[in-house]
Amino acid sequence: MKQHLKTGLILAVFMLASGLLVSIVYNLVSPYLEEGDIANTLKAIEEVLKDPTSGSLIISNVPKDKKTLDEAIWKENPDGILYTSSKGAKVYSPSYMFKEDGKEIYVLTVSGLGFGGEVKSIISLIKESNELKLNKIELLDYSQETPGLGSKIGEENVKSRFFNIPQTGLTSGIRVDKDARVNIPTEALDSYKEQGIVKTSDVMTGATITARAVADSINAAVEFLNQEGVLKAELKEVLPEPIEPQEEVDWNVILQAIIRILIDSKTGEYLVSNIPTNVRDLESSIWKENPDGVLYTSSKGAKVYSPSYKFTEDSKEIYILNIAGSRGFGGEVKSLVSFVKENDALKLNKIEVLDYSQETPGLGSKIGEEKVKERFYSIPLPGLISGIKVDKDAGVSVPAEALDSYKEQGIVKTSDVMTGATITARAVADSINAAVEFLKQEGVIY
Amino acid sequence: MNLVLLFISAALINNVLLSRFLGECPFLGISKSKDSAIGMGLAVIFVITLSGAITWFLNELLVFLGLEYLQTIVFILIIAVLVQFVELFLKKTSPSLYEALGIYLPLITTNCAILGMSLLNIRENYNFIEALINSFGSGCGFALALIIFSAIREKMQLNDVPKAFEGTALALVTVGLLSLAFMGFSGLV
Amino acid sequence: MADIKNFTNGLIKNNPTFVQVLGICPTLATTTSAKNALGMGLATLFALLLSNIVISLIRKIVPENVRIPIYIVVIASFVTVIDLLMHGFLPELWESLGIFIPLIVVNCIIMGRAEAFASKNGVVDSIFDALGNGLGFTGALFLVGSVRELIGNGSILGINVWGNTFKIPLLILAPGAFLTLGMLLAMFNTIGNAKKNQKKKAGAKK
Repeated sequence: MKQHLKTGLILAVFMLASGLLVSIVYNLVSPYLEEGDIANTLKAIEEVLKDPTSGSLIISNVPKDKKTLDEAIWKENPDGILYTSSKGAKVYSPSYMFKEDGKEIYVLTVSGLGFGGEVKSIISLIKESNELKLNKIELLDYSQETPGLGSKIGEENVKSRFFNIPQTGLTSGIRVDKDARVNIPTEALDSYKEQGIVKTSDVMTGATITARAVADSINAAVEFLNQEGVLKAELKEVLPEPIEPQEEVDWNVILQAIIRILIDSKTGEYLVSNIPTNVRDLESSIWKENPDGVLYTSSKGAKVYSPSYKFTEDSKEIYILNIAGSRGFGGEVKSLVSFVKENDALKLNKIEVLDYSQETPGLGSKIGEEKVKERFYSIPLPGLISGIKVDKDAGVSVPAEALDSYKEQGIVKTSDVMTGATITARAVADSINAAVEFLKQEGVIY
Repeated sequence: MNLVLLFISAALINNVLLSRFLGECPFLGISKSKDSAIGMGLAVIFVITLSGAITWFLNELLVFLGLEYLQTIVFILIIAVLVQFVELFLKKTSPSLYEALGIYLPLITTNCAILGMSLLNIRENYNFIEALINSFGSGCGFALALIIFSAIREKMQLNDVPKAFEGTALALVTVGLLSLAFMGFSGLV
Repeated sequence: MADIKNFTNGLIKNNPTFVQVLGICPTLATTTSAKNALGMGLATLFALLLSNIVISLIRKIVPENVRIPIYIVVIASFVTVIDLLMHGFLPELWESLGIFIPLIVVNCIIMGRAEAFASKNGVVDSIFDALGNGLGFTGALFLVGSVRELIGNGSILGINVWGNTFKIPLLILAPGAFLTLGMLLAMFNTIGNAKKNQKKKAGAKK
């Protein structure tokens, strides 16, 4: 017993001593740790305030300590985040602005989602005579990226591929090329930059994800500046390459589908008296349209396509939207959905799935069957507001009377009628959510 | 969906052995026969997941107390204790499992994959579920690489190789080729 | 001159990397450039030196049955100290070495030297042993790092040697680590074998 006690005591003494040693060192070092972080930021800011070609500073009074840096703060937010893009890229608070000789220099801390975590960088954008350009970028944190692959993003010859991107490039959305290891002549790089294409594959093989994270973060910065009114430009949606060709629309199919979803899901009667019988009838009911073809894109990539229709009958307003949910792989699930607004209460009436040709036959393709579609019918406002979700339990049979109470909560049960095709059902749910968000944006519901 | 991607990325793309370089010592030491590779692989999956979970909670506690700088010391001690405990527990409750994994457990304390994954979970700010999936995925990746490699090595023992390459040198070159093959997974996520 | 022998033993004859094949994880992971390799080697050297000194000092008061946990605590606290100091004063190097600094704790070389040497020998001998093994490890890391950086990136320690004219970037990637170390091991095996043969021949002549 005594021996055990002695052993335990010695062990405890060692633990204490080592704990003490480490805490002493920590307390001695901790001011340097913080200082190191600020020094890193200052160093990065000084770096991005240089002209990429000449290497000389573009402003005369570069901040040298925290105080002078704080004076240059432009926008800040107690949350720590100023803007989050649809791709999860962020603009962090605070952002800085420097003015010199009619130039406005914006310095933003941004991040994009990389391989193992966030890729954080500081970027500088110069606005001169109403033209914005990306000046320089300096990587802050890319420690999670694969050493030797993604971590190359910190190297000068890789970073420099992002330097000096003109406004035309910024507004078309920065994207990274994918061709593996082709040598690119340096003089071609600039013309690519004008189109928003950054070539990195030759200097950073096999690390597209890291480069794309940086591109996303730059796009977030541009979107943020646009939102703040610094850049007044029409931003283009960044399209994944290659751009898919638009299919021909078969108006007859759409007309038939619209007629079907104008039937009340409960009573089986038509909601409107003057049912459109040809395409011209439809055109007179157009509610919102957009030459781009897309009215709304949700954060999950679901879209509301142009045009949308509106019918009015008695006190009822019926909205018909062209929606599509992204499947992740295998493209989009397109559908037409009708909403009925009566006495300020909105409900989803019916949905008709248009294009599910790319779904797995026998699995996802079941979405076209009536018994599956009807699971999405008659969803009341509370369900719509809380966001439609699809359940995941595999193949449990759900009592029919329970379905309605699930719909109140926004839960659509499909697992019993469509086993193993959650992705397809979820794409439909996403697209309905996008439709609801769009209606909210247009003030149809609050 | 993200959790599935996390699992795939932990098991295949960022394979602990072939791309993160964690746990090489037991990898080179134990991979001479397929049976022991399977035993070791299972033991690692078990311990790495368990320690991933425990160290996650422990880190919350350390952050709460403001003692994050003691992370390394606390983690390695907990892992050492945990391994002992698992050994005792298996011995008492499941002798057959103990027989299969028992001899590999003491070797695991010095397996840097265990401590490494615990630290990585914290550094990447994973929540509990993500940490668990990441640890489990890494364990599976470890087992996979170990078993594949041991199968190759069993075959290689019959081959006539240049004298200079005998032993570890040839093993390393082989792992290099295996790692090259695993790089092909990097387009997956 | 027992002291010097302790030094050279770890440095060359029983080189931890090339002869004993210990501490392979950091050897593979941190040798993407000569600079990282050197930083990692020196960090390990300091951890080894400090823990060898302390373990040799306390070897008589440590009870046999709890010696391993105590060694772990001693090693882990020195590693944490080095980690903190590097974070404070060498932030860039600290960033690029990542989790491999705390992982010095589980580096078999340190635990191995503590168990096999420092716990049985005096302080001075232990210091020489630590320096020999630590420098042996650092040298090995530096060699692997230099080869990888030179062939993979055309430079050594960031200084351009032949630049872009000849590069095999694969050597900086993960597979390159294994291949380089494997080749170097084979090379040292050849040298070792040749020496042995020479000795045999010399012995036969006598």
